[in-house]
Amino acid sequence: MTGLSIADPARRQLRVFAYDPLLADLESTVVTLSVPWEPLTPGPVGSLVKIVDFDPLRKRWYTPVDLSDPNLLAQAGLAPTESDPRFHQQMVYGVASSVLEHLELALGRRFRFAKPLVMMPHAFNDQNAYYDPELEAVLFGYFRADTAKPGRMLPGQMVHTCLSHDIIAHELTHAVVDRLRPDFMYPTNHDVAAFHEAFADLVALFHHFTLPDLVRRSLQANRGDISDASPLVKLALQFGEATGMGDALRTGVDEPDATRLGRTFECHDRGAILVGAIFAAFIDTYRGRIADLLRVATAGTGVLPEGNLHPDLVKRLADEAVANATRFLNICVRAFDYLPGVDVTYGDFLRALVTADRVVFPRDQSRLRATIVESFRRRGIYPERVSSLADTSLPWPDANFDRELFPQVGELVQWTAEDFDLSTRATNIVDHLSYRFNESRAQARTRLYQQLAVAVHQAIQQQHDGFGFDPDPRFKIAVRGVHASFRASEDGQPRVDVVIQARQERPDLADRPEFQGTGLRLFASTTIVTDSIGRVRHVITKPLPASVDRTGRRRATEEELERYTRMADFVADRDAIDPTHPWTSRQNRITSDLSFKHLHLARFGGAT
Amino acid sequence: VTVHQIRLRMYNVGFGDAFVLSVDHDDGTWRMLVDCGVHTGGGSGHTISEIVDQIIADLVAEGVDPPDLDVVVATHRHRDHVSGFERKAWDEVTVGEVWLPFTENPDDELGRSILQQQSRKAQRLHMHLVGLAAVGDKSAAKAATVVENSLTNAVAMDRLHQRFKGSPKRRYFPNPGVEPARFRAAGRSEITVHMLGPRRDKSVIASMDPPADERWLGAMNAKAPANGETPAPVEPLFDPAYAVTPDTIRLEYPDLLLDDKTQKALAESATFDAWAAAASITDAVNNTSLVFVLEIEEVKLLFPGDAQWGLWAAILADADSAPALADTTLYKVGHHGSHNATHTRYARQFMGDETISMMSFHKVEDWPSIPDGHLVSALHKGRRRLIRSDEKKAQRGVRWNGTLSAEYTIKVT
Repeated sequence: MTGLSIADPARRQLRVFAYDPLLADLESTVVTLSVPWEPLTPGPVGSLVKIVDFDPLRKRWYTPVDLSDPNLLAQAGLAPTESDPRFHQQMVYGVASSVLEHLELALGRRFRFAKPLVMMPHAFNDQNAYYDPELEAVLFGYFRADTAKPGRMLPGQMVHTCLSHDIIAHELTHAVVDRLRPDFMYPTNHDVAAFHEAFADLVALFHHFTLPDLVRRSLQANRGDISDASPLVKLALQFGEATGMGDALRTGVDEPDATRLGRTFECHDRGAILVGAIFAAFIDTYRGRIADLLRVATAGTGVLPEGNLHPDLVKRLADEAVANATRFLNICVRAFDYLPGVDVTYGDFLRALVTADRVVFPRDQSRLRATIVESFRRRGIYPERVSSLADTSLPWPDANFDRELFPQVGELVQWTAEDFDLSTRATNIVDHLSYRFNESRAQARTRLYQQLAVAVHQAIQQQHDGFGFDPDPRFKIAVRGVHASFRASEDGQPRVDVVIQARQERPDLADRPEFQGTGLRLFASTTIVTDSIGRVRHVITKPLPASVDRTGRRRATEEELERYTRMADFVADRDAIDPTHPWTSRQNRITSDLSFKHLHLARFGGAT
Repeated sequence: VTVHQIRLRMYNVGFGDAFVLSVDHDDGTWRMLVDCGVHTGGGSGHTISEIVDQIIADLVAEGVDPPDLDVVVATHRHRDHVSGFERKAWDEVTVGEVWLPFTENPDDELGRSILQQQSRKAQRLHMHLVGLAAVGDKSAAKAATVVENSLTNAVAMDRLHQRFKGSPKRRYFPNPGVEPARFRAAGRSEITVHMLGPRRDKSVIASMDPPADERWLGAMNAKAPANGETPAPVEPLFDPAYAVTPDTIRLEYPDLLLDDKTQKALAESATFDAWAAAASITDAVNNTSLVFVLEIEEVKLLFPGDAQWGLWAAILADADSAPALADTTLYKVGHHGSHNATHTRYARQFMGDETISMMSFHKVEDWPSIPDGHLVSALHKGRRRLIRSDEKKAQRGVRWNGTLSAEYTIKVT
């Protein structure tokens, strides 16, 4: 029988707490995740994440779990428990892998970190967990439950943030967003940090809906509706209760109020407005999608009878909820390709959402976009400089170039198609570039991207004005990323987009008194979307006021000045509420205070 | 009754406040003292007892003998606003009324609980920082100086609450149902007081509560290690059977090893930000400040205490309060010129084009950003003028007494 090999499995099963240990106790919600197979070494260490269980406070290592152990393979990993650190490692790995898989599907291409993301389940003793972009690591804290108001925990009970599904998903998403849009690390208006938080919350919420057992249970309990009270719509219940808040840390459901945006600046609270807008649209469309099912099930009345719902009905309702959640996650993630590279606003996100969805679903038959736009409007979120909220005026305008400016992207499209093979993961892909140049896949990728960056850079340099950059040669233009993505459109045909991001740093502006000592770097930035042969579809710019040059001065446009003023006002607003500012002279007061570490501390510790 | 002139005398205490307002009218002079204190971190060269003696001597010199003040105001209980009241010399001064924020009112449950919280946190933080300073932590030592300002200042507060000659009436603001937001000074119908702060709104109350994350509280609860003593061992997180030695990791799982940068950062992330803690305590107390405008004929004088942004913002957002801030004739600069104690909107839109500002201040090397450069230039801008206690120079309408005080006179026509 030698020579006959058995194919690698496609999936790996891992048991985890569905939400967190508290809900596992109350509702015995333990689930088995199915995540893509990849070879793992003890840690677990995979291709995207690497769990490192070192406890810096005690200077102690905990035994890394070996998920390749046949005993664990045969029983979907360790049984959930708070007392075994190896289960903590397994849960972090499992949830992270599942979230990454769903994000990747929505992105329409393979996602990679620069190097595997380090995740440390027991990194410090505090009511906090955060992504540290400098270390490229997610650090989880642990703490004792409030002694006076411990919720449903024992007073002083140890709480591990690494056992919360939502905290793992949230922090991991910060790392993913940082990879997709690294310059969102520079908070230059009130929306930037809030967008990071909102997006991380949305991914965590929608990930609940990837677990059909949980959805069915909740729909049965709430008679087919997605209830405010369900753990499905809550985030970090155990954390919230253990820190004395009396409820979950946050929830997806809000009361729409168009004035709140104008007076809410703490970034988690402001993020909650965006989460509320998306989530309300999700619930509205879900109700629309199940109306016919309810009529069918109730002989046309739509009024459900007393007692338990029929399990078949619950299953069909759950299918709709899951499919709708997938569509919402997709639309949010897809929007990234149409976001500017810096200084993002909620209005930009709305325009990106609409553009991203419109290219694949031009007709909006299910009125999904209309529902989202209305939901944003009710929360006071409008883009700048659009004539109306109509489906035709919201998308980014079409670019107007008469030829293919970036013909070099063709090879990238081919590469991406080959890379994005859903049945496998990097291990056994036949790779034409590797064959051709006799180099490793990683080398080939690096070479391709370098060549592309050079070619794209030349094309942008020649047309800098059309791409929103300053002509002054002192300010170098840098290509920050080029990628292709594949999506299925309404008619089943694949749609290919190539996204190029470039930026130009403006130290002359960052040195002005308004920005001194803030730690902010200022960039003009442009996202260019092309088709598969390099014809430009959209140019999404964030320009800065033009500099003075020898040939005379181009007048700064209204858009450029508006952005500059908004950034300066933002710094002034931040300074005004920063208690340490008068006492110290830090050189990075904005970037440091709005780092994830400090944000979460301030949030979790302060009065809310 | 005709008012002839209004004089505001700023005593050069250093980093602190002491102002005497005199309103000269047909029948005599009405006098109010606003604050009297100096920060332990920033004296001017004149001691606080020298200043107190001078305040009293100036009263006597003006013919008020025995010395007498119509109103004494303590805007908030920070040392740099009240330490002078510790001096025994006040025993001889008769006072008509003492004005204090509601956090000082023994009958106000909310006020009392805010004060308790603030004092308790300040004491614990101070003890902790002093402990750290004793084992050589320089930044903790500097932060301890800042927190010292928020300690209870019991002796000074005792005088404001219990003593002074003439058994003055104590008035607390705001005090719904007892004190209106706008009233006339006792016996002086020409002096209108607009009491704008502190406020009892939820957001302002929240800004009076210093944040306390786990590390903070943990740090404060822990006994600071005495010199040379090792800190108490940390209890294990898991059964010791789960631990593996670093050698095992190095030999068997080398890809788990952390680089030096990560190790260093992890060690640092466990440290406690003494400055942030100290600054939050300071701000919390500042937001209990009395903020008031005195309106005398056409003249408006604004005393904002050390109100921080949160309190300012609430006042500016309130349609009943904000108009009182418009066209200030004379402005007592909040918190010694620090950037978030004068709201930018006030400076831009409300203040007035010819406002005179008086800033009591002394440069302290450890606090390089006070005063704020932008604010100082805004207070100079155009026809506005700024009088600083640390810069004796000839200015129209200003009379200096050595370097002890500067008095600005407004003629009322």
